[in-house]
Amino acid sequence: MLARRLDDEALAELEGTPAGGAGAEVTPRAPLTLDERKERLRARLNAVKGKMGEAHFNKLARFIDEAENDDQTRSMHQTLEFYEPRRRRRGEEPPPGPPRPDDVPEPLPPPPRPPRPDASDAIPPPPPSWESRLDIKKFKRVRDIGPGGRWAGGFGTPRRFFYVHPDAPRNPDGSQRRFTEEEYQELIRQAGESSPDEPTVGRLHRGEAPRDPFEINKREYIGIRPKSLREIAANERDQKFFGEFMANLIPGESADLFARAMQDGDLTERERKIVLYAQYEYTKRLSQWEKMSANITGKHVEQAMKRYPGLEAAVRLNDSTGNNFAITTKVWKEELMHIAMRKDAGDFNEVYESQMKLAKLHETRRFKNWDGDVSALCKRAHVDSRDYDAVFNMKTMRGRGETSKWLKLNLQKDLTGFAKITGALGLTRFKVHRTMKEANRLERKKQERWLSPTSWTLRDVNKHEGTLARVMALTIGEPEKLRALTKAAMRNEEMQIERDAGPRTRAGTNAEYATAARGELSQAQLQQTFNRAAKPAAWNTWSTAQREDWRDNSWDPPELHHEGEERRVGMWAQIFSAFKNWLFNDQKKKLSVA
Amino acid sequence: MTLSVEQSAAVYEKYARLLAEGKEDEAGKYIGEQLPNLPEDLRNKIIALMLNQSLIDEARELETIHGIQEAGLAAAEKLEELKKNLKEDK
Repeated sequence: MLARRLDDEALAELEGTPAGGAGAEVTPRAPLTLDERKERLRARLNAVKGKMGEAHFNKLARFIDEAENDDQTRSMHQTLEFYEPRRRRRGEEPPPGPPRPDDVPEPLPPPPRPPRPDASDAIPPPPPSWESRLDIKKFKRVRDIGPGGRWAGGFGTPRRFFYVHPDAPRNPDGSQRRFTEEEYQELIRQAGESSPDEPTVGRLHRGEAPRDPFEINKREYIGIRPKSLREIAANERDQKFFGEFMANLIPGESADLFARAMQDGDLTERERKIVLYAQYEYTKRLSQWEKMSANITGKHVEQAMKRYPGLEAAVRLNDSTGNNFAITTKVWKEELMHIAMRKDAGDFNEVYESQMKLAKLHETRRFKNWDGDVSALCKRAHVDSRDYDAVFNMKTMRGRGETSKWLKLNLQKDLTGFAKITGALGLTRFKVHRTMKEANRLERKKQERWLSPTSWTLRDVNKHEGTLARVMALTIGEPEKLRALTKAAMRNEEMQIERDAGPRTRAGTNAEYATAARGELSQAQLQQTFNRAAKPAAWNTWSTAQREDWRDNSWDPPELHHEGEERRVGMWAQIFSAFKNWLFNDQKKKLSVA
Repeated sequence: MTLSVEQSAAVYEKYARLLAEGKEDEAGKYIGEQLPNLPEDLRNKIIALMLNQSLIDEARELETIHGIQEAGLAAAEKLEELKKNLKEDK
């Protein structure tokens, strides 16, 4: 993608037009000469001089002097970018936007440091070197009692605090140096630690993450034997989801980490810790998901539809009671796995707990009795037990009246002969009365009471079913899922959703190499791909020149772009991409547009 | 001798086959051998990628060395401080 962006910009410069296309209203720039490009590169190199050793700086400067073409200058820009993101991570001010390769701003002087709100003039600003060496854990928070004393300002006046450190240099008068809250937070941020005021035990007690998010707390992983990377790589599903999990865990850095791990195994100690944490957490979430998905059936989908009628429109596109909602169940299980792979497992844990508790509650004697009573009642009323909620509306007087009338009509409609006579004489009325009495009893059971354990069970079942239905409705009801479900139903195909699946996996890349080795870009095969491609509606009315223009500038077949190709890692893979793009752009110009 | 597009396509396919078989070293060697014969614009692209990668590798190495040196300096400073404290105690 980057290479494509750079190509666009280079083309735009050569033509003297903006890279955003004809519609973009940007002042056209004159194309830069090689010398001008080199000048800009030198300015950019000087700006990051302090970030590298002298020998390396000299080497880069020599490369700039010896650069012979645009590709080499672009490459140098990419190299220099290496220094800038790291600088941002260390907490310095980020640049105003992504630097364009040939539009490098002059380095600005550092902004003046704002005066500290309560620092007196007597305290000289300390040099940053000793500040950064202070041990964060030794800071002490002290209440700032002003000249008016502890109670100055009256009741409700907010308290003010400052921080002191035993190792910080003292003021000229011998008093301890005071750090404001802002200075203290800034030092913590620079050290990359959380506040020492928050003890780990307290954070865990509140259900929050421990201080180091990648610290492995063995108590959380009792019974978990983490999968090795080799095991993960051997399984396609594991590879896909582990990649997704890593991408969510450290957004923007996982591709780099994977590339280094794959090429030379060059990982820092912290990165190794992150990978180990990911292995533990992935294995735990996977085992939870497996346990949970074994219990998910079409019944859950039906319950969710009852609670969220809007969901029915999405579900009924693909499923019916006949197939026990198999497609939606499958989609839901896969969605749960994606939810499990998020960095924050809050939603997943909620669903997991509800599902597990629900499974237990369904096994209780009280729930089974209730379920049996409902089935018997529905049998008596000649309705399916799944329609219980729709038939029996026992909450209001009006609802009860309507239910009674409906039951009477429902019982009478099937009567013939002698039964019809006895029904008219009062038997139907008697049956309706018995059914209504039983329905009232069940309704009373449902109402929560202090001394009714059955009502507690039903309340819990209702709560957990509600949680599952809510998450299901929210997940399946997302616009892109609805679009995918509709498309799959109309085409009678498998549902496909595009998602960011993390760094490219080895198996995926190898499959793409194998396809390429079979002559994917040969003239004959490319012509076939072109003939099959979906053309614009007005294709038949276009002239040859128009068609050729579309072929050369717009046609970009998705068949040639394998899933996640922009996340390729490693130099060989990037050379492969560059080769492929070059070959495709050259070969397609020779295709027939007839 | 510059290769034609068809010949370049054959190089591409062989390169992909070697990568698919997991022979990355061999693939790198092969592309290195064919590099002088490839069309100029493609050659420039590949050289730029190789140069970029080698520079990043070198920068990373230098940064590691720099980190080790810093850690060493900090340790030396601590030792000095300890020495000084010991002398003062005596």
